[in-house]
Amino acid sequence: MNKKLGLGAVESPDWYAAQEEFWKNNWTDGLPVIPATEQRVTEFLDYVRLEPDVVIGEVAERDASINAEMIAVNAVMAGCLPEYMPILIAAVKAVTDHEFHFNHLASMGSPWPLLIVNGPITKQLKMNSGLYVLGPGNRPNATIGRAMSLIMWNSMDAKPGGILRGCMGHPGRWAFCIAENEDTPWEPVHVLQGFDRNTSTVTAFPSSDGGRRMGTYYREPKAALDAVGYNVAACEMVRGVFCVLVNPYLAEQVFAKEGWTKKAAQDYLVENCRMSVRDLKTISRWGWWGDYVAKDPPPVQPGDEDHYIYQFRDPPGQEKYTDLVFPSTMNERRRGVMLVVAGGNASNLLYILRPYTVSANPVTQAIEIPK
Amino acid sequence: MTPVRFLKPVVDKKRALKLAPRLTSLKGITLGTLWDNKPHADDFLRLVSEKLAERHGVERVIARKKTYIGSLAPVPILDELASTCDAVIVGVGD
Repeated sequence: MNKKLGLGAVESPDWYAAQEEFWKNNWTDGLPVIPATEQRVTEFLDYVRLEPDVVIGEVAERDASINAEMIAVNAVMAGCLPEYMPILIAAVKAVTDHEFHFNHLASMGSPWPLLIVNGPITKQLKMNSGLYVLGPGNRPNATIGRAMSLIMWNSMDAKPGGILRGCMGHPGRWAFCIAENEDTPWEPVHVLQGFDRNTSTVTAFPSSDGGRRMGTYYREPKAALDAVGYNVAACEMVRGVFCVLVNPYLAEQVFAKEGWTKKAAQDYLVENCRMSVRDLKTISRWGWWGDYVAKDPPPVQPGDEDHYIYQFRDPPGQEKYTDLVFPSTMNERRRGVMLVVAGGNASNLLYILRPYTVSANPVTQAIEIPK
Repeated sequence: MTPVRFLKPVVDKKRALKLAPRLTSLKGITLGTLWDNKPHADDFLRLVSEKLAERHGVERVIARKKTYIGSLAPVPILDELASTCDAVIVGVGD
């Protein structure tokens, strides 16, 4: 690294006083951080051979940019190792990609990106894709996820007191990063998107607040997928790309063993996710984007229980209801289900993550490994 | 005690833009409104415009809309509002 670091320095009398500076200035998520010394930040930048002022991502709506130094400083603060920097660089590119639509992160719905890491880097860094995958306990998962939160906190003002207007907040905001288990017959996320299996990638998935855990007690693949589809549709019947974590036992023993590829399972869900008009009226999603907002519920009519609206496609005859159920911006974005193999290896459990309501698509970015 | 010297995680930003001069009266002005395309914000802006006309003498209203709340307004619309309006109401509404 040849250029000087550009961020200002603070001097505190000791480590505890330094922590107080972070809290006082709203530079941390509420937990203590590791103060980023110039030497440590330089080591992080040297690992990825980037000068501090190299711009990694820009968001016009915020009139803001994120450079390599900002990423390194927040990565140090979160407890990362220099080896995690390539993932963070790619993750920042993903969330500032136009397709991801950064600005939605300020929304009342409290969305937050789940980072899904694929490829050889997950094993090199010993990332967790197994038991307790959404919980704490693994250093790269925890610190990469936390670094992403701090980068957005400090560089994009995405924090309470800043632009955030989330009604409930997001439990994944502290750290939301997993690896996919690629040791099953199912095709990894990045391979289905055309990347080489030996390329490492990070996918930023714009998850809405909260998730829906479910278990299927059926072992017949279609019946199991119908149960998944029912729960996907019941997540407020929004259009977009859903993310469903499937534990490796299910992927291998229930689906792959019976000849179901991941792509076939995804296609089946796209074809079959649906909800009856009766249920749509019950969950207040019949005309929710139109004139019925804040008015009395529409009465259930005879036949509503047999009249289905399909979530991801418009079969003949459904066109007249599409605008009633789905707002236009929902219809303009990509749709479908992204299955990700993750979690413990012996259960019937899945975890459904709903996409942010009306905009944003998942973005997969290749991770550049320094040679 | 060992002193700790560390980098701030934020950029020191100075406000680059100056705020426009504040109006002292709304009488006879041209008011712009920019709807963010969220449901009912158009109703709200229409109501506010009517009230401002009734109570404060706003002369003319130019109502425009964005394609989506999270997107920047198209430059031609910004130019039009900036060149024709004395004041513009923008905001977020559901």
